[in-house]
Amino acid sequence: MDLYSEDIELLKELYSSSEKDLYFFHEKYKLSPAQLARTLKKFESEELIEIKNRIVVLTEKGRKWIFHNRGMLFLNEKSKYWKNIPDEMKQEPLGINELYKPNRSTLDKEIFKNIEDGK
Amino acid sequence: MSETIINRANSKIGASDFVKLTQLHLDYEWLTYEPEALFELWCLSENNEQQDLIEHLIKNFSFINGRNLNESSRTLSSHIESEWDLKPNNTFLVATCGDAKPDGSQSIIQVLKNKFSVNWKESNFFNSLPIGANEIPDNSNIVLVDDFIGTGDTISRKLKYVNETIEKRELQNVTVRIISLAAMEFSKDILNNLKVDYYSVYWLKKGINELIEEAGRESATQSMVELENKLQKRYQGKKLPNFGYKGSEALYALEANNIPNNVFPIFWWPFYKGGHLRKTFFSRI
Repeated sequence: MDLYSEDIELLKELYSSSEKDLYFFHEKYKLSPAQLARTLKKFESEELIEIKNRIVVLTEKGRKWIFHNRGMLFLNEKSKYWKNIPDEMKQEPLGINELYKPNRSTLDKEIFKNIEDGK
Repeated sequence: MSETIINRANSKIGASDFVKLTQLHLDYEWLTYEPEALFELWCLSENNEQQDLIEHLIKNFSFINGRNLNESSRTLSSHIESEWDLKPNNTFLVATCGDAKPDGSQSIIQVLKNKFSVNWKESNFFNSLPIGANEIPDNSNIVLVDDFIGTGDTISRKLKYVNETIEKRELQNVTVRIISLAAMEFSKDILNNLKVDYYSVYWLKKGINELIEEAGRESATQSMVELENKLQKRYQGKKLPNFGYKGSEALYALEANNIPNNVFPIFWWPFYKGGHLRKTFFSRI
């Protein structure tokens, strides 16, 4: 599910107080009618919220869903695809207690020279 | 659901208007395809009568999305094959497009052509009226295909052209019929005079004069006059078609297609009086 900032704002508010008037989201976050409608539809179709007249209510399923996804929703723990190293870039992993032998040609020789010179 | 960024409101909206607009967006998904258009249209209004009229027109708008179009095309093919009992060996569906410019009839025939049973072939379909009318042999059924019939003027002209071509080519035993995805109900007066069988999936009523009870019609008409007065009268040589072309008062759009000029221009006319560009639900060239 793609989440926009308005989605998170809505879920955060509902998690803290279970129900809110539609207009609240315009007053506090300046959400436009189209923006709020898209957010409401998205979560209503998943049965995470219900809309009763002009009140948005968090369902029990919604409360559990938010709790389950709290890290991603509120702690910015979305998966960062750029952090994953592509397979073709990986080397064979070292075994436990296996000696690590660096590739000497790639070492910065300046460091060893500095050590020898006592710097 | 549109997966684009929707902007936050750039001005504060009153509680009652906000709730009303949000509810409209919730009920009619097509409004959200151009997310700022409804708010701009709403801002065009100055009183409750005008707002009520806008709400009434939106609630009665026929927006045909891709799924509706697919289902409607099946309805059309089924009418041709089952109701009219036309066979592929002597039936030709011809889009009413009359020149090199693309039009809505071609998009309908393109969607329609794969909805027939397996023995129908590409040679049963023409995307150009002049080519179709000049290639069809004796003992044929011609089905003219259009996307939308507004006043009935255009389809009458197309039928006249086909009949003249048939006569000029001295074709024998040719029957012409008409199908359309949508048509205005008032065009039946003209269609009946054409003396050919016709069929449309959607029959549409005029947005004010046929969908508002007599008691409220005058006020609604006045409201629309006031709304249209805020639009530029002309652009690129085109005159604002008040209440839609020839007062058609149409409330119809086929998703992603050019909007017919029969539709109330408040939904698509691109300029305010003074030449400022509007954000509209639909566009037209």
